[in-house]
Amino acid sequence: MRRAPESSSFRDPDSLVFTAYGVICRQISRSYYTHYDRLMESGLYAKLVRAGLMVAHVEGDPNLALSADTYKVILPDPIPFISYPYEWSFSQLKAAALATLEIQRQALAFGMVLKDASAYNIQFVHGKPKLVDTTSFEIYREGLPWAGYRQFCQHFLAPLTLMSCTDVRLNQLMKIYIDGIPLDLTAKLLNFTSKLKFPTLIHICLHSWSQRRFADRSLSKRARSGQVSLRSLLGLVQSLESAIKRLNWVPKSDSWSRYYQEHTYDLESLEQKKELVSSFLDSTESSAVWDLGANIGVFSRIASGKGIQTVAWEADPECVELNYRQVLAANETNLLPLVVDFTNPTPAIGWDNAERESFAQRGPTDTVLALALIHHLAIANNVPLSRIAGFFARLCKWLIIEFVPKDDPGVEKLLTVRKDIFEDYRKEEFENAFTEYFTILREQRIANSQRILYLMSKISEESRASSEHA
Amino acid sequence: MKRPYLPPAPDPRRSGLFIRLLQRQKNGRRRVVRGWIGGKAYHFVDKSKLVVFLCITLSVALTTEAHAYLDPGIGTYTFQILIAGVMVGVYTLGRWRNRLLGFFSKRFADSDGKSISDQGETTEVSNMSGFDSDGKREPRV
Repeated sequence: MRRAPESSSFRDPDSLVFTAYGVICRQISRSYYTHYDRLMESGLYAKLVRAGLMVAHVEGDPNLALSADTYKVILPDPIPFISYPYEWSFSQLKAAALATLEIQRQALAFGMVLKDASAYNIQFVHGKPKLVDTTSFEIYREGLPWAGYRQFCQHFLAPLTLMSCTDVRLNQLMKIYIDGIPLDLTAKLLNFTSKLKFPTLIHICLHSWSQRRFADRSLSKRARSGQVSLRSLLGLVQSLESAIKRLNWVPKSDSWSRYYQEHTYDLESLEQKKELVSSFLDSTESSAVWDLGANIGVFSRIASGKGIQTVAWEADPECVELNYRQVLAANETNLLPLVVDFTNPTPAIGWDNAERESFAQRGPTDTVLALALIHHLAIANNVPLSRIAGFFARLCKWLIIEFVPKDDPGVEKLLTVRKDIFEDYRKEEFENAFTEYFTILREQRIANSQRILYLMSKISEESRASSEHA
Repeated sequence: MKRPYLPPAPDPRRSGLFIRLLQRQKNGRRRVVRGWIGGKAYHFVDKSKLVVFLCITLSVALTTEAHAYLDPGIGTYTFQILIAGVMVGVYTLGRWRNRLLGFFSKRFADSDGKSISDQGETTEVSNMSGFDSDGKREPRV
């Protein structure tokens, strides 16, 4: 198909995102032309792009448009990887929230306003949050309240408050509530002292009360015409920004964060493993790598250091937080740490289950690193080796995988208090399962350990079909 | 000279129109034109100002309505109106604090050769002030 609309782009009639010949495009409706022109001519667009708060675009051929009432077609700069708020660590969500408020303030300075404040409009590009929706702006009209206020509270303030004050895992509620965590639920999940803080009291508790109180009422004409001055709107932005900046979360030094310091490898083995991973990566033609079970990103950085766009997936939000802080500290541009539970990877959600893509739908990537992961899937989660091999085959062309045998301390720990029902968890069975989908190119035992590192390349579907036929 | 009677203008906010009406009255030899933009009344006694006014009027009148696709929520809408006064206070306090910090920053800069705004904490506060971070452009309020 040469041109096709994006399944998530249907809410805003002012624009439509579509793919044309493999390139992401956005068509802008005629109804939006004055707002688009104001954005471009006022200097707001240039300022936001210069500040790294918004993706740049070029104007394309209007004939690419999918409908007749198109004013312009624009081609935004490509986003290396699309991620979602329920995959972000605390600091990533906080950075996205502050970027949204900064954009709102800049927009007001140029006589415009954000017409929405969705967390899905923000994507991480080269480690920094950027607005990707060019049609999120409209010309400001004095007196009208901010239409995106509720959305901002639900998409950013509520999850950040819950993560900071209750439990960092509660941003996973964003998977259930695609339009953000409802404020009444947020208020219920917060403890008493958190509710007494001024920003929480105003923007969550009283806001939630107001939603209940006025839910069944109609607005008077006077109220509908708007009574919120520009000063008030700026005060609102300032109050939200202050609230977000005060929210903090400090990861504890959990076992995973201390993983490399305490066990599994001595220094020599670790260095040898790094060299092997680097050498295996050089044998592939990778422009994108997913590191599954990345921990704090020690091996992800081998890939990103080679200029490869790398996504560091990890189930532990503390590790992802530490990893992201390191990305910021070192100003790393090729590494994106994200949270995912491999035993229950990110599902496709939203209308028709097609608004936000699943973990696997965003693949396949060039190379997957699965280091010290297999025993967590096969033993801790009882997944048969053949199904693990099939899963990886859908994700990549090359696979760098570490087999952890049963006599490894890591596996012994998993089997400490449970019966060993994993008769098939052996090197031979592992190789049999994986050679169903992959060809083993290299195999190397790691020094002072029984662990083996493999480099595999995926067998094409045609080759598999013909060999099965034969 | 007795001022000619100018009938009260309908409230443009209530009408839902940004610009409601132009009225003309004779005032001696000069024509006085009165218009309303966003609830404020303007008097024009010469043609050049009137032309500027009409240009602004036309440009505003020709502005298309973007689709307000997002439901702001009736409770949230009302809540923003209810807390509008509080938020004006938040803005004003932030501005005063910013000015105060700016004042001390200058004083310290004069004495030490180094501004407090160079320090992280103050930079954060100044970013919360409701102004552009570079200070060159600020919303007209």
